[in-house]
Amino acid sequence: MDKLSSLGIDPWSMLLYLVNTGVLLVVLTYFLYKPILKFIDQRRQQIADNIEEAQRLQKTFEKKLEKSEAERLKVEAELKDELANLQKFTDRKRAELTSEMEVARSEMMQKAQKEIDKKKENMIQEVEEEMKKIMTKIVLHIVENKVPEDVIQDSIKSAWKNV
Amino acid sequence: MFKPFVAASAQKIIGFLGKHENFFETKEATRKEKIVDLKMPEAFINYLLQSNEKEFIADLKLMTSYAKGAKGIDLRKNKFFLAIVKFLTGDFARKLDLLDNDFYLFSTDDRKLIVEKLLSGNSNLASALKNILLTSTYQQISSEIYELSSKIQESPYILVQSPREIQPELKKEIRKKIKEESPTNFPIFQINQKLIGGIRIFKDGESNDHSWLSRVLHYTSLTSA
Repeated sequence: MDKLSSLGIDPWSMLLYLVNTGVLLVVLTYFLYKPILKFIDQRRQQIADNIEEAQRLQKTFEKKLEKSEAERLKVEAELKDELANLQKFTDRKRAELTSEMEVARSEMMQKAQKEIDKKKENMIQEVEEEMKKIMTKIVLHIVENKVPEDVIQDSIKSAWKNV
Repeated sequence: MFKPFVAASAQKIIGFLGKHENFFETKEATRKEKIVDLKMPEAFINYLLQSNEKEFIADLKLMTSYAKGAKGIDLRKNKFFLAIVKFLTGDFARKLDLLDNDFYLFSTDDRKLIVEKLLSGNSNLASALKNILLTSTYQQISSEIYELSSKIQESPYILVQSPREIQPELKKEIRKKIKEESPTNFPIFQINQKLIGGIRIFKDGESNDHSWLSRVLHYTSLTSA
């Protein structure tokens, strides 16, 4: 003990310090360590719950994703079918329209051809009429101006005999 | 147009009857002897030979009314006016045919000379006819003759078209032939150069076409068919 005193260490103080430390430890254990542990446990549990919840959500999400994917694929397939049908319908309609247009075009062409033929015929007729008039004029001009007087007088006598 | 001519005719007949007062009472043979003194166209002589006093008096009234220009006179079947028309469509028409187509374009003096040669005599009757020829065109004279003829009996309108003037001999022949159907028929001659040759006759709108024009048109219509 003396030795300890010579070294400046007081055993009582040491004890006191030890008691203090023990009290402090008890107090700390009771008031700090346990709540902290409790809190840590609660926190751990919460984290574990969260993780579990997250996993559950993940699974749910994955399921939903899978379902959604399946639905998407289904919709896509349906859409493809619709598109194919639409394409077929469009092709059919286009073919029908093309056919109708072809018929209409053909009718129009025939009508136009008829009109052209009619016009051509009229033109030919008009030209023939014109030619006839010109021919008549030429013939009349020649006959009027080139026939000798005695021939005309003879024609009058001859015509009277035939009356 | 024919009033002075009708008046002159009446005057001449009255003058003759004045010399032969019992003309209508005598027999036909005596009438024929007496009528030699009357220098008038044959149509009038035949009229006097076939008429009696009563008819002549009635006709004289009609002649006077006509010469005065009275309107609404009924000349239908009247013997005197029939004689006038027979003369106009016969002897006078033949004189008319002797006139050249250019006659109506000549000066008055030249026309007088031609008319004097055509109608000799200085009686009122001849003067009336000369005056008609000197003051009227062929168309006017023809039209008046046709009108007068239509008033006496129904007569067709006969138009003879030719490309040149028809020679008088042929005109005479045509008139003779046409008058065979009816003595009041009066063909009107017309020049239509477009006919080229032959003749065309219109009778009351109906055409008898023997012209070269019709043949040419027929030929051209055939070639274009």
